[in-house]
Amino acid sequence: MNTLDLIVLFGTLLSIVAYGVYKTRGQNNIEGYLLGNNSLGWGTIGLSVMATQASAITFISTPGQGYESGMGFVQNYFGLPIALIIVSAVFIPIFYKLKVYTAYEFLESRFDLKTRMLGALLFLIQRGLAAGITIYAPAIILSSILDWDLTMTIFITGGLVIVYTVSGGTKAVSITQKQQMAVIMAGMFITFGVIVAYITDYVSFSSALDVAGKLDKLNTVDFDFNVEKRYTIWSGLTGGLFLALSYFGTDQSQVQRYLGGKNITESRMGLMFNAILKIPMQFFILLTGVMVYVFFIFYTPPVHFKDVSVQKLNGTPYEQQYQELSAKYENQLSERKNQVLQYVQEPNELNEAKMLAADEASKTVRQEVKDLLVKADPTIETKDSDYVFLTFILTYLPHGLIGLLIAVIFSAAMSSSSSEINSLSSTTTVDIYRRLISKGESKHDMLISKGLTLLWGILAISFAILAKNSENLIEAVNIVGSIFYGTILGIFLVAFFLKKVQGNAIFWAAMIAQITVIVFHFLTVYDVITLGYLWYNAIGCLLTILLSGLIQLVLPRKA
Amino acid sequence: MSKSERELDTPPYFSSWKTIYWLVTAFLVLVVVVLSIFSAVYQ
Repeated sequence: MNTLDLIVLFGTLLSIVAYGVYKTRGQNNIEGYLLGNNSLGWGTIGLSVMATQASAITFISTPGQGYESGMGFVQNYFGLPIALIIVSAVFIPIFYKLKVYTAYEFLESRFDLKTRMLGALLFLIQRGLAAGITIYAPAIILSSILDWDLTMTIFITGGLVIVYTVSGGTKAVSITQKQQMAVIMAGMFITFGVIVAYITDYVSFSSALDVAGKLDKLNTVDFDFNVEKRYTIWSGLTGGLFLALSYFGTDQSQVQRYLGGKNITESRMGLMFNAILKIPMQFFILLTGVMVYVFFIFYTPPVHFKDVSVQKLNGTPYEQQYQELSAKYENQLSERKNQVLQYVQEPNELNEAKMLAADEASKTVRQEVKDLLVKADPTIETKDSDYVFLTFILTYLPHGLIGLLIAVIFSAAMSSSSSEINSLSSTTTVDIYRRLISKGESKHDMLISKGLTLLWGILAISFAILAKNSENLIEAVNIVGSIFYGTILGIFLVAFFLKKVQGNAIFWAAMIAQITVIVFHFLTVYDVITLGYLWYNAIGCLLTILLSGLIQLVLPRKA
Repeated sequence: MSKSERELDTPPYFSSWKTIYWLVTAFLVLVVVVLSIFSAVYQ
């Protein structure tokens, strides 16, 4: 990165922050601070919902996923449009009718205070931990690849978010997300164009797609019923539906985005906007990763993209072996490039077989390097796909555009974490402070909410800094999220669809379900059972629903 | 903003939300079909 890149990067980020602060100056009541005075149109809501979901990791990891495994990951989003239809048809009218600020307020009117508190607390624990990771995850990658200090990178991201989120509340979050999405999409489209321009120096775009297809990168929809396969249309439609339903329907970081609408129509349109655009957007990001793979057929990539890991081999007995493997890899790449060009000129079965064999040989060398890294340090993380897209950006994009793309990553991190901090503050203010302590003075409550936003922002930064020493913390937080998400979704589904279940039944059902999921987790940790943590969501949800029905049969019904 | 204004609920261009939901579902089916063809063409 040179001075031009830094000017573009900080110019973009600071102007978005300044715009957010300027446009929301003079907020003087809690309604405006938490719901943006219900002034948002469907376009702003739609982009805000999309920006909240699309974190920095989306723009770092997803192209890497496309590079490594192809397009199959897009199937995870097939359940999302159906989930958004359910949220629009069932959840939104009820939230609007009750004029709630948070999703958990609804639980008190439907059940009782203790169920509302349970829902709010489960959300605060889960989202509070996630907010730190939203800042930490891109910071660790950006700092290592840009050679920046990790703590400074965390402070830049978290600090900028705190400025406009504390200042302007929900409206500032939503309107800055519009600018951030504009920067993100512009950056991604330009980058895609640059990649294609580089590739077409060697082969046409159509041939590039053909080569990617033959290398098994474009297998987008898989109808196989094998449950051991990670991405199939069936897992996407079922698992993706559950995940999206709990995320969009019960997670305050999303609920707050669409509750800020001018009216119910604007909120619903914002969600339908996402239902239409989310799959094409993910498809495009994955395709960008696949095109990076084709690009690196013609332009030599490093044998391992995570340079920090490779540097650990320096001065060890394995350094020499690494140099040999690196040289061998370059030879394999040269061979692969020739075979691909030959296949493009004469696309017959023989040339296809030779191209596939050359590609496989290069993959084998990459795996040998990963094995070498593990030999040198058994605790090392050998996955380097998160570093592929950034390596391409920093090595092959022109200056100025590098700054814009790094701004894309920071914008994505800021858009997600601002929603999280904003929703954490809203839930603490509305569900705990206003419900249990406040005397109902709007201006005073707004100041409290601002203070809580600042506090959650500081907590997120602190957690991100504490995360520095743990390689597996991201997975740990995903596990924590899965432990709580199912129970929360179960509570809401019972609230909407099982009208006869009352407060005591759902509260105890949720408590038992939550404890059971935690027990399952520890049984898994201590190898008593084997259970993937994504199953916690389904177990928590189904147990809550079933137990609430059973307990209600036993408990006396209130009039 | 009054309660009735906030609950104003008419989708643009269509008479009911059901039509929009069917259109979104149809779009999802179309996307799956198009992506399946895309996979088959480049297999």
